[in-house]
Amino acid sequence: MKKNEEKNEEKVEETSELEEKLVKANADMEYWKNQYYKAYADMANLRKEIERDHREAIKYRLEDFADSLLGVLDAFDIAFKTQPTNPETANYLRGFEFVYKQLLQVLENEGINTIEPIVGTKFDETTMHAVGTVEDEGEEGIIKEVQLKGYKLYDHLIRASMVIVTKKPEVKEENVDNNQQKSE
Amino acid sequence: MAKEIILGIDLGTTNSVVSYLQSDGTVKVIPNPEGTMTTPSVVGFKPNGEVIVGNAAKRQAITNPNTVSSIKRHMGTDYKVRIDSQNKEFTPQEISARILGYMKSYAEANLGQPIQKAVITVPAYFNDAQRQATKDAGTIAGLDVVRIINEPTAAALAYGLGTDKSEKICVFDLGGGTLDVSILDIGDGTFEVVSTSGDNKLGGDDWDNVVADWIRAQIKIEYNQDINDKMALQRYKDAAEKAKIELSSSLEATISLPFIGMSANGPISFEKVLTRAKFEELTKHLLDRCVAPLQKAIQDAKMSYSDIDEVLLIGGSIRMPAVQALVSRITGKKVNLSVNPDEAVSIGAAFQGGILSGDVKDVILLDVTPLTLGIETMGGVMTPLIPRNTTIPTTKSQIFSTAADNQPAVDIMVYQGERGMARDNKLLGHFQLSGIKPAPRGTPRIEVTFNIDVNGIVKVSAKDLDTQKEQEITISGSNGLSKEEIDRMVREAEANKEADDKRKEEVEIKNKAESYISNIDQGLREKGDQMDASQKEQTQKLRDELKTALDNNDIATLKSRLDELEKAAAYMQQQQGNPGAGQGFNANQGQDFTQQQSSNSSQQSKKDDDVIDADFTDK
Repeated sequence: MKKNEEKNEEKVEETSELEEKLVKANADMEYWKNQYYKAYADMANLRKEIERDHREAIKYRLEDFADSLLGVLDAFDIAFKTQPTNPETANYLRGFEFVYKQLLQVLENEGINTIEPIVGTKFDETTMHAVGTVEDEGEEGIIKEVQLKGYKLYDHLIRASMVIVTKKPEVKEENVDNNQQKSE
Repeated sequence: MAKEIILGIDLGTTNSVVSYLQSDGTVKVIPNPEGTMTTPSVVGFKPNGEVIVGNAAKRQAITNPNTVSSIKRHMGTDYKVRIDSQNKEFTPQEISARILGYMKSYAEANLGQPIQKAVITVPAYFNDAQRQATKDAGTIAGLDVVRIINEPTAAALAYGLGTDKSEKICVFDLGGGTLDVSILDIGDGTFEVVSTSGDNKLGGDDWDNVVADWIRAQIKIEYNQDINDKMALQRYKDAAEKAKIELSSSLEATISLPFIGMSANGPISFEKVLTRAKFEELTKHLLDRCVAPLQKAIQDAKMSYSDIDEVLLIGGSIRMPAVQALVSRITGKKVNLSVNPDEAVSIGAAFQGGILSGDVKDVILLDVTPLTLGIETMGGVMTPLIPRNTTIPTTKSQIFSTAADNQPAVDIMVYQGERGMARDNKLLGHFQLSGIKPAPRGTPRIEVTFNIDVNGIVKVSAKDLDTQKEQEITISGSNGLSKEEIDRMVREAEANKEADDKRKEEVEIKNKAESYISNIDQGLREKGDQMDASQKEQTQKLRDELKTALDNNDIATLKSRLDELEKAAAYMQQQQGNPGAGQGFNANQGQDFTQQQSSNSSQQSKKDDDVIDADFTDK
């Protein structure tokens, strides 16, 4: 009897040991299975992300180029603002105006577009940068002067257009000044 | 289920940056909708109730008195901003919350998942009230701020410091408008700020202003006219900043300002070269102002420069070589600036987020192959199968062929190393695949597969795709190289690259020449009778010339004749009506075998990818 009992106990022990091992093995398997699928999921997500970044990188590859071209484009614009008195100079300038237009066309074909705000319309901070204000009795926030054109590469702003906008000559301004001083 | 992400946010006085820890353990900075990595810490309240943040808010600042910038300077005080358009007063934390909310929203849009948590950085000198205010700002923005950490601590984390040893570091942070110097004592994963010092009125903008003034003065000297209209002043400033940036990498910069103004003689255009030496002379007084805060920080920490183990430079303005040289000279240490200085603080915060979410220790550190693995192919060339620094486990297959007619077996010689010729590399093992059916060279398809398992054990197998016969070898010693040996092998490969490339090219030319000779021989033997006499003679002559050059090892002649031979071979193939038979090689050694078009192997790997994908989607 006693021997049998001992044997049974041994068996039970063995079984529970095996069961424990099985449970552990199953848990291990589940764990690694999860890790395995997670690795593939990560990979799939990473691939999507890289593809998106790659598309973006191609689309916006000219961003730095456009940025470095700003000085050149501005120089053209500023030059055309002068009125030559000499007819020969005027003709040269006209020729360069055509060259400039050709250049803009080339840039447009590559997705680089000019932002040219119209004087008298409302200021829009998504494409313009207010660099100065002039006091005006009329409506506030109206474009009074366009100092520099802005440029966009598709929907990315390369540079906002630099504009001067109207501001009401009011007592309120003092408050504002105070406010700003306080914030300094 | 998407994994929880904790953002790392550098909430700066002028600019803010947000980033997150990716699943591979690297940090990515999230660009804002305008495509820039930094977002101005500016908030504008429009009359219609709309609130704008960042670049757009900065652009409209001058038109809108209800625009708030540099709010960080007031954090933790009872200062309030009156916003008329909303008829309401705002606390600094409410304003900061707008900035954080904006960053949270574009981070969510970029990552495609909602985000609840963030680690936010503050200057080391921030007191409890200021820290609490920063935390409150996060709460208002709907973020659970899991930790507030010091900016210099974040910088140290971004540099991977504080994980294994204790050390004392100096963080020198020169931004657009402020200089902060901190001394940290790192040990056992704790970061103690021992002292801080700084100059809150010194930054990169000051350097720009000095150069802008110089440009204006130069124009005055040259044209005897002071051009100072608003637009000209802005152009001076832009040109100055551009020159400063250029001078960080070049020794001189050309400042070019066409049509900067008008004179009696027409437009004025200015162009002048600014050398780095002149730039440094002009801005020396600014550089000198960096010295005192550095010395004070060391004094306050009761240390000397020799106690410092590491000097970290952050902030965009430390890109100026003079600044780097100054810090290096004063501290007597080589300065560390390998992390993007504008992004370091945010990157460190993202790392902290990863540590808190347990991600960092969860990152599986996958090994990479330290050296290239490949086999020897015709002419003793090392043909790589698995390039060095490939993450393991990995499998790569490529299809090869025989180099001689009726070649019964191929020897697979497995090499490790970066040199172009197999014999300069380390032989790991070799085996033979025999029983290849008699066939013209280039016809049998033998697939060689390299497999490296997670333990770095390399298995190389070769399979005859026609007979399905397979042979393999297991190499366990490939990782037995010490770091020094690996470095030496890589260095040697770099040193010998030119010579190796030349030798490899010569072998390739010779292989190609042999291939053509053999091809022509075959053509002449089989179809020679059908050719017209002059064509036959010309081809024969070319063939003989080539053979002579090959025997004399005259590479130059071989190279020049290959063009003509290519034409002749094409003609022969046409005559044979068999356009695909251009792969034959006349081998001297039986074990040499050749490489077929690599498209075979890429097709192979693509197929593998698809299988894996299908497996996954099935689940």
